[in-house]
Amino acid sequence: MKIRIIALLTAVMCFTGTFLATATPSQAAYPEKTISLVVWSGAGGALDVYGRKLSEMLTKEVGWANKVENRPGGSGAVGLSYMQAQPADGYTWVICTGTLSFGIAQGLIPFKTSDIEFIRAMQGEPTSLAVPKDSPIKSVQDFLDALKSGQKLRVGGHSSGGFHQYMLFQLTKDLGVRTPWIPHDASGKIPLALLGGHLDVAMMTPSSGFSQVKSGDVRLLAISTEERSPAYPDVPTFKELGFDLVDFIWRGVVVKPGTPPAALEAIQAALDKVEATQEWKEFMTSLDQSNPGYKGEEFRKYVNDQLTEQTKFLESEGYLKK
Amino acid sequence: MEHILSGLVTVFSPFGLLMVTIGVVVGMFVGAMPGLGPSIGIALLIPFTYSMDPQYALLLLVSLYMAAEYGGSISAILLSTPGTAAAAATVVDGYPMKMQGRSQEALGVSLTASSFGGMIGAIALILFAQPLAQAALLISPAGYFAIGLFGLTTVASLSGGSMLKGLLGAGLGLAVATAGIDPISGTPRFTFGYFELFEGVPVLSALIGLFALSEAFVMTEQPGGLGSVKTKFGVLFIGFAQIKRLFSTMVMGSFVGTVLGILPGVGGNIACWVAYARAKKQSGHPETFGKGEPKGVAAPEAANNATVGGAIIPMLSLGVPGSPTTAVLMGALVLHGLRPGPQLFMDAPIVVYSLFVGLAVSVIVMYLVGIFTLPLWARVMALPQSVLSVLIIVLGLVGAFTLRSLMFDVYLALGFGIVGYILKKFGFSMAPILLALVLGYLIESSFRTALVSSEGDYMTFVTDPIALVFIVLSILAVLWPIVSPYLKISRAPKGA
Repeated sequence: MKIRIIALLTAVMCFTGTFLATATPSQAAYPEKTISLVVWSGAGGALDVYGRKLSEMLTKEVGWANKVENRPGGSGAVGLSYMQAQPADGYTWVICTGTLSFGIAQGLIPFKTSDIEFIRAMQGEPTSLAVPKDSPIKSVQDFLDALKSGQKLRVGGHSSGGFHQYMLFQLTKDLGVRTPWIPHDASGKIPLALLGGHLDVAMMTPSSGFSQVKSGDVRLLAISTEERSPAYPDVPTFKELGFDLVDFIWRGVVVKPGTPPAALEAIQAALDKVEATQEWKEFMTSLDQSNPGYKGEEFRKYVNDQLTEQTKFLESEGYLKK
Repeated sequence: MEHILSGLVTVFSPFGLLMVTIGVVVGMFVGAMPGLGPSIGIALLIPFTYSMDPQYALLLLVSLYMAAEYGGSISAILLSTPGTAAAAATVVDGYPMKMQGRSQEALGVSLTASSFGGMIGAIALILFAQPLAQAALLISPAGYFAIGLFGLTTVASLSGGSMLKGLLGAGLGLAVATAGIDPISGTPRFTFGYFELFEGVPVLSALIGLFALSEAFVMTEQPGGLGSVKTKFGVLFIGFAQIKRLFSTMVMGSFVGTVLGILPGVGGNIACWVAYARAKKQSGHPETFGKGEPKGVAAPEAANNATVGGAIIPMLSLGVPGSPTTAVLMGALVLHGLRPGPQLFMDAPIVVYSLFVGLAVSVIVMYLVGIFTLPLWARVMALPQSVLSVLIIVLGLVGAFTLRSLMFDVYLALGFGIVGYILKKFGFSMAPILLALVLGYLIESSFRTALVSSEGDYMTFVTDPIALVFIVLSILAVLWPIVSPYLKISRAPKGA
């Protein structure tokens, strides 16, 4: 008898439970389950650091349950394909970088920008023109003059057909000479190649040579930020030297298109909340990151413009057939 | 100094010590089990370190490496079956000691000598790795190409007898290493449209397949254990008189091991025999060797543990692994987003210095764990091979999945396992394949960077002094095994 009552009660509870569960979604606020932050690179890199800090802040400041998953591979294609295979419910975010548009331009990432819902670019890392301390090249103009006069310079940086080479291309495309480029497979190798005398000039992320720049062994001639970076107050920007070269490699959040507008709004609001905190600002300063501030449609437009420019660059340098 | 301190803090944190202890215990186990070894042990553990900070992951893995080099002597002494190739020389005197009822003493001598040798190797690592990394700044891409090539020439000593099979294996490894996005032109090669292969064949899948799974498949063919050995429980301290008697032998063995460890390809498996031969020569009573002479155990055991510190030096400072185990270890560093080489000392000094301190501490932990628990290991060896093989397969497949959460990697590991099993049946050694796989990328990318820098001029490999020296050394290393038999024949009549 007792068992029967328990069974009956259980049945009633199950029924009402199911009823409530099916009745609520339309009113339920996003999120009602754990969000996956899919980092499209391995653990330990700069992107992973950003993803994990974002995850921590979402938990702490917004109270959203979330977990970080690293899905590296395929120049980011692995992470993006995983996202495409998930429902468009806003529970799978991909934490990715500006190499996205290069990957699409080069045909390595089998998606179009219309296959991606752009949420926000939250970090931006510039590039800089760097030389060893005893280099005869003392300024950006020296460098351009040397190139123009046909002087043999070993110029290089991280990766092939990527952001730094693209920026060098933008700087030198009107000189009428072929842009030299010696690609290296790791950004950490660049300052060392300058120190060891294996490169004369490099285009590199300033932070990858932070200690060498601080010690004076590597000199930065110009940096690609809008205004001077607080971390390198003595380094002029390309812009103030009269070169139209302001760009950065962004890190940000994207989701699958078709995500309900309510969820998108909630995500934007949550990111606003994270970015407003003192802790996030300190995190950004400590890593010398600027905030690009692109959101939603503005972000998509920015990426599309980049894609057009980068495709031109890749075609011109022979990475892509016209 | 500041970095040494942060290394100390890492190692002596509760988690750091826990990692060292787990590494030591697992290392002794894989070392003692014939067929397993440090390479397999590390390959199986890497996936489980993935979520840890890299310094702790490295602590676990180097402690395992250290203890496994020692663990090989346990089965060498008790079963006359060396647990690792580097313990082969230990059998010669260790097993007779056991037959004379002196197994406790033999195990104690081996433990003491291993710890001594391990410590000397660790000190060498601390002294030489940093200066070498500094000097490495001067090495140009052409120089790196030549050093990588020189590393590859060691296939002769790793190929287990057949030079031809060693070269074929290395060729296979190099071919696999070409898959992925071309480092210079950015074009995908041999990816067959799978973007899972854009970053190249995942080293971890290859490691797990070639080393762990193939060995596990072989094990399933031999059911039953190795036979149990009864040992008494007790403390294995050998006494100060014995330590004094063995001291000079241990110093010699450690020296031999450290120096040979630094040379690519000459790991513990060769160092143990060199040290044994020297100990016999130096001894006033060479006739006692082979009949249960403790010095015959102390010399190879000191040597094979000293190779650990020595072998890590070029891997850490140059990013050029000289042995299968350090190649696996380098794979672990890369998976944690770290590139071995001079930049590692600047990017992640805490990892480097934790490794330094950790290796020394692992020796002490190994001695303490060994002295109290050694008799237990003798019983573990009774574990049936079939049980062990299932354990390896499960750990291996889970491990292959962990890194990128892709079933693709699991299938790939299985594929490598099957290929490795078949190759083993044909008498191929896995070490040259792995070494070529790990070195292939370095060799190719530095070769091509050098050529881009010199605008296509091949003379850069001759005009760069470092490149020239290592290219000449590589040629000599390849020619030597071919030429040396003829030299011996012509010399033999004189000796007889």
